Amino acid sequence: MKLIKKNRLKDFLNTLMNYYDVFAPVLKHKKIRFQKISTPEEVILEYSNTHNKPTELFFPQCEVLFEVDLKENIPEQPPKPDKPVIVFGIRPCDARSLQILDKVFHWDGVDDPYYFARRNNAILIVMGCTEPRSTCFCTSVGSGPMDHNGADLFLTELPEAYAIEPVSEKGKAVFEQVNDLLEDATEGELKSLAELTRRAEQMIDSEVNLNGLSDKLRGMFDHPVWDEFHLSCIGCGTCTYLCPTCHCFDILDEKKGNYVRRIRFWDCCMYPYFTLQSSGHNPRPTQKQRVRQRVMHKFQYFVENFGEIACVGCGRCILNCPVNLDIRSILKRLMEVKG
Amino acid sequence: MGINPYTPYPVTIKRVVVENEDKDIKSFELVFTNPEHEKAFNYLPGQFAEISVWGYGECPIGMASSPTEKGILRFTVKKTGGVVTTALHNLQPGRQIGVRGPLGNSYPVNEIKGKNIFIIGGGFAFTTLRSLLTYLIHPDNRNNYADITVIYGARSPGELIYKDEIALWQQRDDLNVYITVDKADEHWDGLEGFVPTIAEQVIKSWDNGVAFVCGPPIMIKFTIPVLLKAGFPPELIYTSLEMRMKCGIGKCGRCNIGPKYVCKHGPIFTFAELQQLPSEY
Repeated sequence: MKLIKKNRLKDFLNTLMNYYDVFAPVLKHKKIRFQKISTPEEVILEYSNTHNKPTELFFPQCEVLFEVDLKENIPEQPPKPDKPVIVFGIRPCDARSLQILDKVFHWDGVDDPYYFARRNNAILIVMGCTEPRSTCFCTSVGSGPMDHNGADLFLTELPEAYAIEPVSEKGKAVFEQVNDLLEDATEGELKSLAELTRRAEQMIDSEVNLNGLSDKLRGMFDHPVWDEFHLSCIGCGTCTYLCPTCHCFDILDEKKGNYVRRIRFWDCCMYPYFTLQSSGHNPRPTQKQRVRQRVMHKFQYFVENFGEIACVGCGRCILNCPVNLDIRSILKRLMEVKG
Repeated sequence: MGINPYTPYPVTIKRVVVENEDKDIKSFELVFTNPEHEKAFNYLPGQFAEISVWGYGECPIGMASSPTEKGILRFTVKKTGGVVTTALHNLQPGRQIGVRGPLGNSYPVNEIKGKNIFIIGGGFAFTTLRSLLTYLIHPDNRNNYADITVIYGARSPGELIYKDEIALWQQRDDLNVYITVDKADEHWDGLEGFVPTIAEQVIKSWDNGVAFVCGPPIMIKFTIPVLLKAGFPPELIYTSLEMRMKCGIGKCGRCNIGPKYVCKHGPIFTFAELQQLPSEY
């Protein structure tokens, strides 16, 4: 096991910045989110998780798909950055959410070129969670605070250092690039790593048993239980904008003079406009239907199409809901009612 | 589709046909700017495409032309009050727009060989059925199918679309064509009555048939029981669904009915498939 001492982390990041565009958690408008850093000092290391979802680095809130010069009529795509990217400090739940998005953006072999251009260009240095939040429930959705899935390199914070493990081939290459800065772990540090890993999993105290939920939900579309959940929902859409597996988007044109650019931007199933047809017909006109859609999509429809649930237990929707809707309570209720 | 599934092919509007008396349904005949694109745009009846009007955006429209009609692509579009259909209706021949597709599944033109075909349409939803019919009666294909029956109706004579072609279909001796209107006017000497009523008079038994039903929800609602009563298995009744769509390739997440995405698993579904889905459409 190799380590990077805390007082050498600055050198570690500087080395990475020689080769890569490095994105890391920084403080912006009083919220922690991932941004490209220009100095290691910007990086916030004391954080449970970022406010914004890091999937925005791969699927940004708004992006230009292409531009059209109306005189030429030929769609042109914007240029792509060529320097490889490192995402430093992404949490295991969020790394896992990217594996879930991979499935959507590669459905039936139709690749989303914008998403995969960024995804294939990036290396994930995942930071294990030694201090999970009270809203975290990753262990209920098949993951955990030290889940290495989706990581290229995995870091765990110890008292004096970070344990560093290469997970993928890409990660091994980075490991070689920073090799000079690494040291071997002592017996005591190895013990400390094992202890912290065990403790982190114990610290996640919210447990939702989801065994058999997706099968049960298949027959519950018209169940009266759906009359309860939406009552306090104000349809603000905060949950969808912060959810790392939410991926719904809208596409529209912006025009200035002879130039048109086609943009896509996040959209939200909590809004009535989401499904409103131009004829005036709306298949989901009520908040009840929209809340049901969101829950069913993540815990039933997604399972049917991709074989896993579209929730990584990051807890952002619970932490930020203005009316205290808690997805864990919804799931518990769905599990306990008679199907 | 090209390497980037979001980039439309440039096309030029060759001809615009006003299809109805209300003048809110127009057919647009399009030609590809680049012949390579036409080759790449390999479609079957029932599929749809996203039409781009630069500066206004895209909207999903079913193809009204048949792949047997080389050189042109036809869409029949109702001006619904939406941004794109309104902009499109203002365009004249010669203007360039974009087409992205073909998208979605198609009518099962190969699986239905040897069967009796019933094409039942109402209002302006006859568009992809026109594509299907044109495909089936093409000299290369006609012998692959047994009897073909067409039942098509509109609110009034002036609201029937493809009037010139209807006249040609009615002259053919290898088609049974029933054109009806909800309410006749002084010039109408054809059938009068709702499509489900005419269907009930015409279709007495299943008789190894397959039915394609497109129209307003109320028409579909009353036509399907007629077919079931005649003995049609739900697996052999096809319809085409509409939903608000953006990407057309199963990613933007808005056209699902339960776990099925209309853009990807549809837009063509059998009645048997619809029975398995929640009634949220």
